[in-house]
Amino acid sequence: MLSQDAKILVVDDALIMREALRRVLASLGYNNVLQAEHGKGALNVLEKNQYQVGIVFLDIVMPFMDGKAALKKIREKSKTLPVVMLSSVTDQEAIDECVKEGIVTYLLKPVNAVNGPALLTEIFKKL
Amino acid sequence: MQLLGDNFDDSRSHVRNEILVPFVNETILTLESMADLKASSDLLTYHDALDTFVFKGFAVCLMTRRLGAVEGKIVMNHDLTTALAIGNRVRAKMLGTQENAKTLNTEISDALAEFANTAIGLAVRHLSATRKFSFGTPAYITNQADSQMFLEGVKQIFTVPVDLAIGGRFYFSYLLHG
Repeated sequence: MLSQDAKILVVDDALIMREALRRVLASLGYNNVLQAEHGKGALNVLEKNQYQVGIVFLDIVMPFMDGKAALKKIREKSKTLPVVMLSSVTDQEAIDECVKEGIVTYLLKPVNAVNGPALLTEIFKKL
Repeated sequence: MQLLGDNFDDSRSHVRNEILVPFVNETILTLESMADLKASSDLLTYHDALDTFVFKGFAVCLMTRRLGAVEGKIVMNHDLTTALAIGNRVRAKMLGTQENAKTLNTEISDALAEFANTAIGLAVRHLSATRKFSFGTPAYITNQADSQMFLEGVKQIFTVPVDLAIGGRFYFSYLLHG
């Protein structure tokens, strides 16, 4: 189970999605939440934290650097950092690509105040 | 290539069945999943007059290409009332809060954009699978002064209304280029 002290990085270009995940995480006792709006921002945050982050929630479709590209960059630095992909649609091709890079799972959006706590608890149990 | 026949009914049913229906259906499903809102459409398609068509309070516009050539634009067109109703409900469900915004502020616009991105993403995936269509990046229009540039090159407009069960109506239009 992921420690409640762990830093958690949420990467999504939609502010409401980042805020929704932040609130769900807070409801589960995870208050150390970092945020980024795109893949490049995520890499900056990870560098600043020397990749000492408990888990990353990474949207697939984003401007500047998308989730697939960011995941590849993350894997160059860390083979084991847990990553969960976020997607609005079941894009099997993109998901297969991410699975090859090693992800915990993917979450189909919307993740919200109703379904979020159970979804994230299941994921954290796997860590 | 003549994609739409001269016969109005042929053109209308072609645009409705091939392009508008997937967007309407995915949007109705997304309204339920993201906002707990029920909606329906009788899919009756009408011709909007070019000189009176307006972008309302919140619109999303998406360039459509067929076999590589620009064919038109899909528009999801909301007046302020339906935009606020949907935006407030999306925020409430996603964040677990009570929302009652009366203006199209940044938070409501962001919620509407997430809703529209999800619905459009699902429809685009469906249509792209046919390999006949490809799509541009959605543009969000909240300022009617920006409308004119989106109407450039448009020759015909086909519109389908979608009704919200709580009251209110918004529209999907296909802006067909020449």
